[in-house]
Amino acid sequence: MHNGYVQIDQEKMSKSTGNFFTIREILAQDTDASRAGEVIRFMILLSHYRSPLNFSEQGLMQARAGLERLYLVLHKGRGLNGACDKECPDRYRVRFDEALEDDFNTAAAIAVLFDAAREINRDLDANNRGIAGAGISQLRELAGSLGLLYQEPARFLGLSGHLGASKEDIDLRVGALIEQRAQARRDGNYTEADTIRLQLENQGIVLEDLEDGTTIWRRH
Amino acid sequence: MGLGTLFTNRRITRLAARRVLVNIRPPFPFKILAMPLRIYNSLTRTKEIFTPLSPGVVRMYVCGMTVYDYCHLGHARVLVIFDMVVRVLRAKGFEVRYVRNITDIDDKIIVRAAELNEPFDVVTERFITAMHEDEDLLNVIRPDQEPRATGYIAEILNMIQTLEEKGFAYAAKNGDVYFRVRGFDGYGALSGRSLDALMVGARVEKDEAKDDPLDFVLVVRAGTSSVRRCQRAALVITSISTVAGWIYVFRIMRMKSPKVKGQPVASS
Repeated sequence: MHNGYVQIDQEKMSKSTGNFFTIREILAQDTDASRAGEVIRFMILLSHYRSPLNFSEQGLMQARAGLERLYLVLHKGRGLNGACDKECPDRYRVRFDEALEDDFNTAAAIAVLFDAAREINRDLDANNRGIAGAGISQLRELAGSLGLLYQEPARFLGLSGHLGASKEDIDLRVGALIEQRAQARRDGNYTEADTIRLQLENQGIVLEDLEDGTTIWRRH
Repeated sequence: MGLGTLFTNRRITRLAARRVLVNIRPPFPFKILAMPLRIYNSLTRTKEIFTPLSPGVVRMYVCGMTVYDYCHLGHARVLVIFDMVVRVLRAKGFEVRYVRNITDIDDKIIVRAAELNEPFDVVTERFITAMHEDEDLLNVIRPDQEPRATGYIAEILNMIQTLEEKGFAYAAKNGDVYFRVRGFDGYGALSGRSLDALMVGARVEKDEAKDDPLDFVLVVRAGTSSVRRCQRAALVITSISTVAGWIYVFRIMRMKSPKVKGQPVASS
């Protein structure tokens, strides 16, 4: 077995020409090295091992957004009983295994994880708690066999971070997050928008979207 | 009984048989038999059904890092990909014994140690620790064994001597020992490139004394000039063996000539 090269912005990564990044340089871009580590792992597994892996800032951000989507589902369904009985068959296992048995096609296996996340989201919204709970434990197990989704969802999503100590700090930080959420919604990135709303809720801050398009906030 | 009846009877039998076949088909959906694992074999360039040499046991050797600097993204890919492979094999029920070597002595390390004005093992120890920190953050399970080249110098020299005795290697005038590429029919089979294609990028440096531009150095004679010469001779054969009875494994790193960079090489 041989793995493919890493390219940086379509150019082959090469130490001799200085066109390369160390792992720690990439880890240092994030305040949370564990999260950054899983993002790198996820980005690598998003390509088939024999294809060239193209590394770019944008690719790294997409990998993080993808992982956030998966973690958000785990976070939303936290506390659900994951015990699966006859009524909730393993819907994803066969396709997932088939992908990996075909020369370790991790890209196709991860696509199954995203399908699972989409269906679990639907079940959560429809309040099908049993099926959603079973789906979550299946998702965890499959992702775990690729060495993914091993962190505390709230931590990965940055939901437990402090907004600040003083009133001015909090006002500033909340204002910035509201602006970031508005931008995410304009970009159609609803996962990020949801994450920010949840992050604020965890800090006791509730958002209200007004009809004129502005957002106000208040304490619980 | 006429022929007609015979034919008719036979036809009926066949139809009946067919019906039986239909009837014994299990109710849909059938239990789908697990597909065997298929892996792309670099040598045959096809996906092949994976069958381990000993049933249920996979002995896996991965070409590891040369520890003269921090790991880069290319190393991250090797670490993560083969960690994934180990996890998938274990999940399928294989007992996996995963070995990934550490090249902790070679020309690049010696050059780096000289630059830093430190003993070479201080340099390698630092970068081995850093590699372990990096792989922990990438959620990579440590290999079962991480043999270091410095632990096998005697075996490496023995193997080079055997290669010499069999005519696959020769000592040049300057004391360096080279691998005779044209003495080994299988050379280039993994990269899929003919010797003539490789020849395009081959050069002979002034201070080299090899018979053929493609030949690569296995071991250099100690001396100040060899360090400089060593900078482009990155083809090393190392042998790995342990008391546990691992069979000798050797790896060949590619030549650092720019023209041959494009060929696929063992996880580097």
